[in-house]
Amino acid sequence: MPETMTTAAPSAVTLTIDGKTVTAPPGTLLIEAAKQAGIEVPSFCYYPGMALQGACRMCLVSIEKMGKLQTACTTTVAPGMVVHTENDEVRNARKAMLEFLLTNHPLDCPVCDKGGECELQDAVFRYGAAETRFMESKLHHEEKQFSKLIYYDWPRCILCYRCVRVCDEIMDVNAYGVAFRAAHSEIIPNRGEKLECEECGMCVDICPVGALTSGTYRYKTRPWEMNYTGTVCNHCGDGCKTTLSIRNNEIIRANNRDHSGINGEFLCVKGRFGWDFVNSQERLLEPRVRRNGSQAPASWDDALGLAVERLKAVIKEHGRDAVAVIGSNRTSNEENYLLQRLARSVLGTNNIDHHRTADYASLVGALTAAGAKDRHATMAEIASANSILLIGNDPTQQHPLVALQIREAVRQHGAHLYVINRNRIKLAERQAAVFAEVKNETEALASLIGDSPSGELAALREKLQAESDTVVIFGSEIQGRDVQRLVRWALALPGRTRFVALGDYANSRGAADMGLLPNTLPGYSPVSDVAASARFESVWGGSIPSKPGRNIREIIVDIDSGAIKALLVFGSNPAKTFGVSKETLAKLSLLFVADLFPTETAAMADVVVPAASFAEKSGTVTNLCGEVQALRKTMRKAGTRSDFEILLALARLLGAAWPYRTPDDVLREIVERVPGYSIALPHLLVGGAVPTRPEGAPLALERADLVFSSGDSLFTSGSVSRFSWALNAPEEARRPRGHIF
Amino acid sequence: MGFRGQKIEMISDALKSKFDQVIAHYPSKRSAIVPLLVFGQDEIGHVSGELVEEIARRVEVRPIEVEETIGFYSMLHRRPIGKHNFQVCTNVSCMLRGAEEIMAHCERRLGIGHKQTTADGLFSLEEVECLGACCGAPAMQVNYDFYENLTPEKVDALIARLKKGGA
Amino acid sequence: MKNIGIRDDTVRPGRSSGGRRRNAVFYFDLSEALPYTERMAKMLREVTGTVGALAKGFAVTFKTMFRPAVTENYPAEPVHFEGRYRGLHVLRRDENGLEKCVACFLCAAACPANCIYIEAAENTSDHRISAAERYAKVYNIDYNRCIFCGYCVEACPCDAITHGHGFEIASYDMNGLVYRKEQLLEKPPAAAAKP
Repeated sequence: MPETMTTAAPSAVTLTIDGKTVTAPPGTLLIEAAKQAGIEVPSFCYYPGMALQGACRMCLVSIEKMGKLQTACTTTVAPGMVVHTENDEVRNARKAMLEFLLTNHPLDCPVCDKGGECELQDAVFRYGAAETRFMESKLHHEEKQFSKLIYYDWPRCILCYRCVRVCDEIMDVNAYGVAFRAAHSEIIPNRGEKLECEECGMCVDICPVGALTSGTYRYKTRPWEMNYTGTVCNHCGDGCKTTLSIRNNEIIRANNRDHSGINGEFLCVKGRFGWDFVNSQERLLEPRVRRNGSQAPASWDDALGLAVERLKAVIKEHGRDAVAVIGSNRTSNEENYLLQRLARSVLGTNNIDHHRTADYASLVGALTAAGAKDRHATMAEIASANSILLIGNDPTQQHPLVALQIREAVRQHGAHLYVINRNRIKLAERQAAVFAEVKNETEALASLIGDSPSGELAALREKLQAESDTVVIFGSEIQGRDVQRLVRWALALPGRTRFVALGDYANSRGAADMGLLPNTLPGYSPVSDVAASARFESVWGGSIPSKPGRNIREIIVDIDSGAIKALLVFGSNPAKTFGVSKETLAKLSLLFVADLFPTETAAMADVVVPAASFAEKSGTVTNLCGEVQALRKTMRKAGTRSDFEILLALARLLGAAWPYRTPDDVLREIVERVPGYSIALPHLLVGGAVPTRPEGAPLALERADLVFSSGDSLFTSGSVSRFSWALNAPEEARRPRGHIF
Repeated sequence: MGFRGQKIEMISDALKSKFDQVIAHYPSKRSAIVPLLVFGQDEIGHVSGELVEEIARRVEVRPIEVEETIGFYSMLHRRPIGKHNFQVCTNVSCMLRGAEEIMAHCERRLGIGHKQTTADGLFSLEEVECLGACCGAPAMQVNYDFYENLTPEKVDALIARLKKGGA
Repeated sequence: MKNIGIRDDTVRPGRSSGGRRRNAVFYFDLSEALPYTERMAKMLREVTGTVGALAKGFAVTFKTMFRPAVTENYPAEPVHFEGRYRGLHVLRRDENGLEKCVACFLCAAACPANCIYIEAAENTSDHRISAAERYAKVYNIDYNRCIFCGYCVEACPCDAITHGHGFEIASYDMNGLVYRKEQLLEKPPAAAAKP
């Protein structure tokens, strides 16, 4: 049609789909153009973001002036094209295709896990091909257990290759293949009959039918029987949004099929399967109090009463500085804020710290000093970066979402990845444009930004200086003054350089932001800063001690020396993380522990109270990019209380009148008072990730052994992973950490 | 990980140099997968795990892609088969000339069925499609040798000869 | 024209139903408008008609005296049901004695009273309850709520849940009305014990 050709702008193609005029950029696939126009074209093998397959033939559409039906998933839009997606010819073709797909498909929908959310079932309902003309008996193979978490039922498979492609292209693991021919084709795993992979379960999630099923969800319930709540995964610091499926106050599965949040549908093994610690039989469900040397169950009133009584006695006898508080990497921002308020304004001490897994204070300090406080990269910005500099850490193992974003940046738009690492990490081997294998990242950094970088670092620097808009990602290897040096140097690179520090756990960033540090208030102002203190004193009343407190190493030393007599531990296991001996902990007059599990520290405690897990409370967490997301209470666990409630009760018993009734009240105060946290709440409430821009001039990092990563793998998550079946069951969990292809 | 790190012993130096030669024939390395598999299978007798790993390494693909290729071709055997692989054609021309009888005879004499191997590892039997030897139907292929115009007696004689160690 | 009624209830006090009473017991039109013979003929027709109707009615009564009684003497005697009576549910077994229910939850989804509660679990080769991969570990019907509509039976793809003829579930204890799978399940066939 010449008139269309002349009227269409060169940058857009105008075509007609089912009578609707649609405009799309050239190169757009017909199926996507139809989707934009609100027309659904069914497909199994087509999946946005992955290579085209053209295998299922479900998306056949009729295009005028083309003899045969065309696949909408591989045909690109052309000017003046007239497309029909639902005429008789198309319907008959789809019905015939479905009949073909069902030749060996068992139609065991009442039993199949996918029944009710199956794309094949939906298509058959729509086109009505449940009756077959095939008289031959259906082929059958027995179900295979590919791994403890992934099962494969051959007859249900429709060979859409989604699992093969997601594993290869998205996950870069390539654990699946398709072997044999025609009706005998079969998905095969990479190790004979078994899988050796990251066990992320993306294949199970993406399978349009019930061919790949999850080892934890199998045959437990049906999709319409569960309640769904969107919350944030509580393992690593990436902050993946996850939808927990709940039945009878128990988590049955986790996925993110609505593609919402910063991670889309992506979840790693911990996010998809590692929630089962919440259902663990070993959860603490009643407070315990040590009497005559051994712990015995007690009521909440007794437990908290005893803790407060001893606290008051210690303060009276040894002064306020004899009390110390250790916070958590996993509790919500609100709880961390209250915890440091309890320490600073109720107990009157700055002896508060947590296991720091990345030096966020130095990063914020350096960016503020350079006048670049908006240079924290968001998770989405990693995937859209032109170039990425990764120093230290192993994101594939420790930060699966960050690793995915890096891979997507390289795969989707050819970003260049520069890696400096002491190990040949997988990203270095598979994606890196330049990999500098070094002995020590700190020395390498000095060399990189020094006058004459050596070896590969010289090449790396030269190339990096030709890039623009680099995202710099670094692990705990870079800390203190090195962070300042790195920031100063990288900000001089062309374009808009942005930074990410890789902290280990769900709220590592939030813990630092909320001031679980001995010398820093919420929002990274030093405790000695009178103006900053006044900001909080005006709402808290009383005064905040201006002398920096003891950091966690000093706390441990001073417990041993007897200077610290009472220790409050919330959601942390210093006995394991910092190797504090039993003898040292036994010197305390009061060891108060709030935790989910009987950890090594809890075993030594005078008072242990059972805390609620992430699924059992509301609040917000901040991921390693500084994006705040909301935790939603999805279930209840009888016997437990959230740290929020525990802190409120402690404060009340200690005589403080706190005005908070819900975590939202605390959030409002945080938004109002903490620099950088004045975030838009509506976006947060609908499940979005809201970036924060903290600024401050924190004191320099006190010593080198305060910031270190736990070095978790894909299958470990601090003390929590010990209580998860799914994280210990796979074979890979028992192997020494290595590359998995 | 896995057996990737193990030393490869089953592949001779001659085969390795052959691999190098073959790979050099192709503009893209992965195109050499099938010929490498065939040469490897000829020497080892079947496609072993080590062979898969070796080929994957040489043509720079992941082992699973080699496995996919092996699965596609019925002439590539992932498990050990007999020293002499009887491939009896039962396609139209041979069938009309009594191939089914030959197949049944082989099954009886060797005591094995389609795609099976004798306990002594000497013989395997397979029913295959057209060998392109219709002019000499019924025909059979043993390893790379053709035997045509077969009768049960000729099969017996062949089996006896092969058992004695003849070629 | 004058109508003479022997009994005319239309104006009887205390009767509020409006209009003329149509079904007076006797009603003879004795007006002079008709000739005498016609009046007499009409009266006779009325009398014979009435006697005939009475005889017809009593004949039914009389005949019924010789038929067997349909009244059921419950609880002295057992109750007789039509085949499609919707009573207490029965969970069926297949010919091998395995439970037919595969815990597909369709009955629970179809139930308008939301009275069916199921927990599913996976069969293993050592512990096989149903023929498919899944079976109902827990299957409860809350008869406090059940309205015996039969939707669950219609929804069942395996013919596992059916209506039996049980109905004697009256109880003083509501808790006792939540029936467990063991109470609903058909007895295993004696011959088809597991090998």
